[in-house]
Amino acid sequence: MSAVKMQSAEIRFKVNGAERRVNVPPMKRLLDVLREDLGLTGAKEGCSEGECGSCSVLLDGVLVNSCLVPALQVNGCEVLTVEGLATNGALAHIQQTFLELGGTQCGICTPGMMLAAESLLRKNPQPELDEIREGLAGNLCRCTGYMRIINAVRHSSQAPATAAVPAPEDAVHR
Amino acid sequence: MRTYSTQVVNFYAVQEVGRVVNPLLAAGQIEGGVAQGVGYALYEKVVWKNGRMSNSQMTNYIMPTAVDVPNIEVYFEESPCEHGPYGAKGLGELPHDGPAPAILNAIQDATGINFTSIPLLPEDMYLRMVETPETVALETAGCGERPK
Amino acid sequence: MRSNVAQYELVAPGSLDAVLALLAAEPGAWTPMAGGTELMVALGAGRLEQRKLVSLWGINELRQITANDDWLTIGAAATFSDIRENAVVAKEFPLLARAASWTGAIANQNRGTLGGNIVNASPAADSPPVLLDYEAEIELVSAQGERRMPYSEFHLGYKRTVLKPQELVKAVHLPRGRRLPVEYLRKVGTRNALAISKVALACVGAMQSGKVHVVRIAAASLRETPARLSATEAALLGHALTSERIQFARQALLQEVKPIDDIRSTANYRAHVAANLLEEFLEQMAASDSKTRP
Repeated sequence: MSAVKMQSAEIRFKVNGAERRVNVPPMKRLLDVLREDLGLTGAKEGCSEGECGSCSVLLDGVLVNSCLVPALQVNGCEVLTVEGLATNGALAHIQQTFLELGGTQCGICTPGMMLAAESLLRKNPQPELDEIREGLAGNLCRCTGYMRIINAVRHSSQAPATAAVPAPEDAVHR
Repeated sequence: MRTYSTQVVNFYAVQEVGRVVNPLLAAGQIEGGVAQGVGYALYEKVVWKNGRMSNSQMTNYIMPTAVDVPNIEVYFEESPCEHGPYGAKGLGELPHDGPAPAILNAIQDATGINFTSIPLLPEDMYLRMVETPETVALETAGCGERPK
Repeated sequence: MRSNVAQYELVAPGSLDAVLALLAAEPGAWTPMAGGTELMVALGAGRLEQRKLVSLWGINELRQITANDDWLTIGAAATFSDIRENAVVAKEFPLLARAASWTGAIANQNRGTLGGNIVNASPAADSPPVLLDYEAEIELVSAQGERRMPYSEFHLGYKRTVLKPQELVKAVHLPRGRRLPVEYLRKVGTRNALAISKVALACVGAMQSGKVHVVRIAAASLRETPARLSATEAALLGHALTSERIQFARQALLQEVKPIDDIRSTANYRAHVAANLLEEFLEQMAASDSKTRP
């Protein structure tokens, strides 16, 4: 078997609004390009098989698992990572609600969760409780039991406060 | 009963922790532990083959998603412990203890069968209820307090 | 990440004709990849043996969903999200929209394609039983031309299809205007979302004069391929749905299916639950008949 030539391709794409250019093997995973070539370590590797969602980013506005996207297919596209949610140092609303309402504990699922929430709320600004659950179904969390994440998404949406999730002030019943 | 599946729809956790220091984190810890307990009870089977775990991927080690975890409500009892700071006791591992027994007790209440092994998968319930109904008859005969 | 990604070639010729020319020039050398939700998993696990891949992503000709009076045509590179969002699918082929919504989760649906799913040929896939019930046709294309056949002829055996090395799936065609009054789809997975099916049953049918007039029953994870349960259908066609007939159909199903024990479930559970799902569908059929009775 002859040796395979080491592959490299020039990829030009926008990341969080900025033009970026990398030279990487065309099959390098977008997750690894973000983390290794661009130093954007917000996207995490949780499972390597598109199941846990901790690598989620928005690709041309659409939620994807970056561990399953080859670099070549990102050429000419726009990527939004968690690092791109805040603007001029001000946290995005979803980040603020996660912070205040206990939506994050260890933080591993959090970047993917917030991007999944962002993707959901862009399509459905007033999701019902079961729609929030479905929107987050591809993002696994071991720490929170999802309750306060769902709560944070609810508070970030324009939905009326009728969902059956306890508000943080009700956390302690004495 | 068609699929022998169990769905937890509501979970109420009453936890005695001495003193709640940070309500948000304390409740969050309990909720996370309950979710893990739900997985322990109903989903997270470890499949062994020749001493190796053969379902070590997130696709085949089944932990609950946001669509599987029930609504969880947390209530704290506080009996301050003289040995802890401000009367607090540790609560990290605590929430994992109760859910699986509670869920299996609920299943017993629903089916009359005393399942004693977790995770209790639909396949296990099917086996007990369909393939070995004589075992089921013995179980229900033994439940003297069961309402008719 | 268990592969050396530098050893993999990925090219993007950018048009269907260019891809087909490449496949024809070196038959068997290039593996087509659309959304990558299957092949990139193998890459991450260190088991992607194919070193030369050709990208189908971004070839709009393959991603269109179009309709004329007689057919809905779904391009092979249409994603499951495209399918869910399509108005004709939602209105006329609702079981397909539901199956698409159960395939992985949203991030997978945004990249996974119907063609990729079909070519991967898992017997557990969510959409194929629905395509069988809707009597879909599948169109294959190569540099030599096109061929089109009933989708029921596409799968030959476990993960084996009629697709030749230089061929691509171009589109799936669904015949319009043949919608039946009773439609049933139920998937039993390892959990409520993000689950590979343990067993799934897709059924469509119609009653007439108290008897089963039309019935099509297709299943996932009950045979080596997605399959119609023809013996079960034959046990029902032309008969009234008495409790004896329903039990008879249950037995026909149990005889006909060949499920396996695997990491997700057991053969006995799958067979028994499939029979329960059949009964659930037949109850809907019977109820549909009482509604139309004067």
